Amino acid sequence: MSINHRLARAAAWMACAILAMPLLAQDQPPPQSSTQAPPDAAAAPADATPPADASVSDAPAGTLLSEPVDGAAQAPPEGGEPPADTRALDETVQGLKKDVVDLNRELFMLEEELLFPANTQVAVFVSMDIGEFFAIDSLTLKIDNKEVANYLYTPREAEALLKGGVHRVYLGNLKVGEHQLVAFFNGKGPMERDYKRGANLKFEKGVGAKYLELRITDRQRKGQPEFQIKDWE
Amino acid sequence: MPFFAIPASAVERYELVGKPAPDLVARGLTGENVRISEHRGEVVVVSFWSGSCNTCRNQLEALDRIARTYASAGLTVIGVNLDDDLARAEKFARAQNVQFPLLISAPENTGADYHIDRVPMMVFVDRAGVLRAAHREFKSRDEDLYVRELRTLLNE
Repeated sequence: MSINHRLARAAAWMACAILAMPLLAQDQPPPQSSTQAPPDAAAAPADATPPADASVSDAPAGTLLSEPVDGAAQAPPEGGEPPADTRALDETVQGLKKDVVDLNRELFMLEEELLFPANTQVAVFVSMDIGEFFAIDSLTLKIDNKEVANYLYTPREAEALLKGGVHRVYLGNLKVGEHQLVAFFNGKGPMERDYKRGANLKFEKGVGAKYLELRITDRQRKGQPEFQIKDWE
Repeated sequence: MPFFAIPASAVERYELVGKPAPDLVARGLTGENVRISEHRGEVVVVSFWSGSCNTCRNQLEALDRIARTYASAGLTVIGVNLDDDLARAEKFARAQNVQFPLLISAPENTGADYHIDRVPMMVFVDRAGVLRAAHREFKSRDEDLYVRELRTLLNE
């Protein structure tokens, strides 16, 4: 699908969603969820449910005002099942939410395509195996002598790498031609000693996207970690 | 979403309230890196301090008391140094007897990202990662206010 076509589709969806909002707002009271409540209490409709505790409105400035939680107002009518029209409305809202999520995903992909077109795109990934001899703490990345990424890994992220996760540490654009990538790895090496190592690679950027992988592997014979850069064609 | 005023002076507004909290990662005193966005699902208090600030000491002590009480309910407190003098900040942090992480080397843009204009200053981030309140300065009576606000966020 061409970018123009996608843009047109995204715009059409957006327009539909925006047009549908006032219609829905007329048909139903504002949602009770805290994440969707109106930002300003004064903007709430006149027929909105009043707060359970009237004293809340007298709270001094700076007091955190909680969302009114009125069990009676939210409870379904006695007998269990909500009315059919409410169910239908709920289904419509859920459908709209799904559309918005789909649209968001499509826009995200579109944004990546526009910001990082395939003919200039360069992505650098980090992977690790076993990690017996190296615990990663941070990574600094330079392309053509310019620092493009500096990433601190939390223990959870390091654990995710050890479990097979691959982290995209950099996504950017480069011109066609020869470039140099230098990566500095910081962390704890064998015997819990501070460890800093570098790896570099000269690579040729062609017309297609370029993917580079920084691999941290254990070299069992030497009892040391090994740092490699793999160029994925 | 409710909006809050800033207690220290109600006329001042904090523009980030109601917006997603900027992500922040920095190295803690113990050497571990801490990333705020990893605590999504918890209520997070981020307290900004400096090694030359005496009031910060009192605020960190108060936050430690609160953290001990509400940690099991999903409260996380993180202290972030904004002092350029890292040696002084580290000395200050080591002198604090607090259980939560104190981050020493925050990125340069942290102060700008969080619109910090003085210390101590702290922000409350809800379970969805939205910045919900900010407090400048600290007075001993503020501790009760913090507890009230945090309990509300923890109950959401």
